[in-house]
Amino acid sequence: MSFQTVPLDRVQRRSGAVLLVGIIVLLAALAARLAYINTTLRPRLVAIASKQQQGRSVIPARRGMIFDTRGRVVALDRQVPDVFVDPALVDDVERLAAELAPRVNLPARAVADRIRRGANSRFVLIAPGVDAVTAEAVRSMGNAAVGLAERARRSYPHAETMAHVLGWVGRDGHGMEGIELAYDAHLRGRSGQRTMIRDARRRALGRLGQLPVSPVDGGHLVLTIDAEIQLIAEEALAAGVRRFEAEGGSAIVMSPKDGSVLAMVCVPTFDPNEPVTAESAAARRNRAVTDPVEPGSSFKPIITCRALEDGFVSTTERIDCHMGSHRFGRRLVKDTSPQGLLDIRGIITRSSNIGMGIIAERMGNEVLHDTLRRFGLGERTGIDCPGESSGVVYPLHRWTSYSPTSVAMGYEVLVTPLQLINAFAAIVNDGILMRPRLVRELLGSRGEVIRSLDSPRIVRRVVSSQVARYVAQDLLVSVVENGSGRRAATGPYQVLGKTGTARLVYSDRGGYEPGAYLSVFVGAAPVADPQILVLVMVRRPNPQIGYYGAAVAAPVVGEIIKRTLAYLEVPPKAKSGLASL
Amino acid sequence: MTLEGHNKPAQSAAVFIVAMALMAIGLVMVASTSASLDRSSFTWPLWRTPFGRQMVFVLIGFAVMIVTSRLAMPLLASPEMRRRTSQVAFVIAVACLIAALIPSLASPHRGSHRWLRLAIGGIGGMDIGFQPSELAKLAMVAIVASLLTERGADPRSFRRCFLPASIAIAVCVLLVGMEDFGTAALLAGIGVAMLFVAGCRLRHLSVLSAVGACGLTVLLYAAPYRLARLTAYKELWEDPQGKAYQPLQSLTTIASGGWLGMGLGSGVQKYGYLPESRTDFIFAVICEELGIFGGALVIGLFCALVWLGLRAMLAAPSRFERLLAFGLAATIGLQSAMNIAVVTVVTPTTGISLPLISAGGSSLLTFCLALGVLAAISARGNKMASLSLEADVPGRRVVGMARMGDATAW
Repeated sequence: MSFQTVPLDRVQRRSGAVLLVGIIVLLAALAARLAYINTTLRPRLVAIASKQQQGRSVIPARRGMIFDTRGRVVALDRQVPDVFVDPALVDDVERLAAELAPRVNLPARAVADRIRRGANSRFVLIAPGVDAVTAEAVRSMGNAAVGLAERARRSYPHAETMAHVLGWVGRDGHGMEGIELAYDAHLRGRSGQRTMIRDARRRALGRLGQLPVSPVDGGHLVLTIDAEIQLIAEEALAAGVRRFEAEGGSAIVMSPKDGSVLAMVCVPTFDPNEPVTAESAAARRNRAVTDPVEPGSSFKPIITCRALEDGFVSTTERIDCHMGSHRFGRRLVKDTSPQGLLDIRGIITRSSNIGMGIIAERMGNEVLHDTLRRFGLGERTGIDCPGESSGVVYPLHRWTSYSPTSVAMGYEVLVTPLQLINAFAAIVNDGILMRPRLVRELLGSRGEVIRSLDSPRIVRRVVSSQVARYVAQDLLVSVVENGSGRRAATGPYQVLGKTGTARLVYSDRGGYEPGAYLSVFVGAAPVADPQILVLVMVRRPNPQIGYYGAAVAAPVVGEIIKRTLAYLEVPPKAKSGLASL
Repeated sequence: MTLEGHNKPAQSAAVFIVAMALMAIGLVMVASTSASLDRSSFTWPLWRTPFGRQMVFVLIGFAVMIVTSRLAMPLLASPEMRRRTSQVAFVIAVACLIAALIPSLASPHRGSHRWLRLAIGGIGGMDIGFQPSELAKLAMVAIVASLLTERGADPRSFRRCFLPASIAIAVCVLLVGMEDFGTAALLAGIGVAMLFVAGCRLRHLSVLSAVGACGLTVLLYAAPYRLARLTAYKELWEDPQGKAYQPLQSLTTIASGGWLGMGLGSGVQKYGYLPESRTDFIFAVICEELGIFGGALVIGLFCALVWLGLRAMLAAPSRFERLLAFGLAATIGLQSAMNIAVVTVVTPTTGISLPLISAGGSSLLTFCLALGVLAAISARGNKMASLSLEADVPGRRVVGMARMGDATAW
């Protein structure tokens, strides 16, 4: 027995030691494995870790305010509370919904559904942007699962009045239309970012991953628009549209000397505070810049300028207007008030299509085409408004022998209301075409002036000063004093202007629609030194009540001029009798 | 026993120190991993928090280790006593394993572990239960050591030695393997290693290994999720949110720490990303917070324990104690290696805890008991060497002296 014992003990010790040392080697190999994980596999694993652990939260930048030309706030961010529910803290969904629903004016079922659908999140929006009373009612519930979160919400104090100019801001904080869209980059600023370490349920661990990036607040804007004039224009236009049972209309008030737009309204309008409730996208369109129309007779002064400038007609020449009925080629053209011989003043004052057509035929297609282009038609005015249409001036090769008579009457050419008033502004402004504008100044987030757009921007001279002055001070004054524009002279100011009545094509197909008219008037006052230029277009008035520009649009322009000049404290014209005293 | 005062065994003290170091690291890491957004690690009553429970277990465990190291000395000295003790432990362990299979006695599942509930309602709000598979590890090592050595057993004999020991191993492996594949594999490995070290014939061993491999394969296919874990391990990068989620998160946790770690308590992965971060995967969190160096330190401490076990085995005054020391050291070493292999995704995921560190009382107390026995063997070995005296086999004095020469030469 003892013979065997010695080798067995030795075998046991040796094999036991070998196996245990083997285990130690195994453990050491696992330590090497750790090093391998931390070197070769590390990049991929660290990427996984940071991807799942880091959550970015946005620090919103404050959107800049918009002021009118006199510093009134017309758009600002307001902090409004959102009502939300944290489903993780809700014990009984039905009971909570029953308690919460009446306070936020929602059906209990809708609230319960919303909570259930968001059961996996910790933030279920119940009612966005509630008022203070609702907020207090929700707060008084004292339920930890229901919370109020402040959120910036764009607010427009002037609501409908400024809607088309300003546009609105979408849920994501981006400008959707108007100035809000055109200057979105300036207003929006740059949002900051905070990187937080989060647990697996996306809750912040309160530890910063990286240094936060501070937001850069948006800058402010000062418009050329005057909110008061805007209100005057909107009220007058809406009243005119209502009175003539029209489909809608546009009005623009401009300072002719520097191209500043003082007011720009469209009717019907919408509430930019609740843009999604507007009946249709059409109501949200700023038709004053997006929709080109055939301007009708209001176009005649533009042609007249060139005709006088280049001697196609003189101020004294008398043209036979064929007693209101004349054939140009095979087309029969009629005048509403038949006349025999008329000089250019008579043609404009009576708005004679025949007289104007004869002059236009003398000018020919090339000169007419060049005239339109010189007045900036067929191209965008460059106003700071998104979606501006360039209108339509056909290329010369598509013009026919009938084109001169058509263009002379304001057909075969499509202009936006803004293009039309801007062309008129050139006539009133001694023949110099300006670039219209809506924004006067760009301010930084602390109110410092970043860029002033105050200096007027001249496009070109379109007609000589003498001709422009003659057309404005003589012909267009005569229209209001003696002709079709009489109803624009409603106040103590002397007004100049031109009427226009155009037939409208069907909205869904070609051809002119019977009984569908566009009533136009463009007027300026006071005559001696025009401070404001006003355009009014009324779309599809009820022809039973009236449809001529003289009847429908001219009174609206008169009303706007009267109230605006009073607001601007422009002294009424001195009565000649008083002056001579 | 009057001699123990003035011959303080240095090696058993080293066992205590290393074990204490591991338990202290474990306690701190359990406190760290139980932090969450909902509550702090240290709320009152403390004993209801994972940290508080672990604190209690560590204190009890340390006491168990000291007491065992003292009480085991006379037990180990008597062949009759150690045989009886081994048999009783084995019978209790098998009874508990069977009881845990009876649904009414078992706690609800936690992972793949079966729990046996001791006191309904618990004591002082602490739910008391234990995992019989932990006890089975100790009992199996003891009974195999006993069967292979006692009463003049010859390990080369198939019928008198090899067969009874193999049956004891098979009983434990099969009963544990019903629920816990990882621990069963561990038991099988330790059992075969003990047979080999005892000096059984390789012919017998290879037959047993073949049978065992078949058995483990059957266990593998018996539960589909075990196969799924195997495939998930192979497709680590393919399905990061699905099957491979846990192993990938484990690697991510390790890599997050880098060499020096994010700092104690600063880990992020424990906040819901890494499943079982407090128990089976606590080693990954150690690496995340204390770095690769921290992880290597823990591995080093386990190596030290195995080394101390090896020294105790070499110095063991009897074959029983030698085999017992080997079995216990192998259990600690293999289990820690298996756990770390799972965490570092060297092997597929199995539910094996990290000895002395993972949160949980059963495992901690079992290993404290094992280390107490190891310390006792170590102390006895030293004392016998100094006395050149073997109590159980009279007339082996010369052999004992020769053995010491062997040990120093090795």
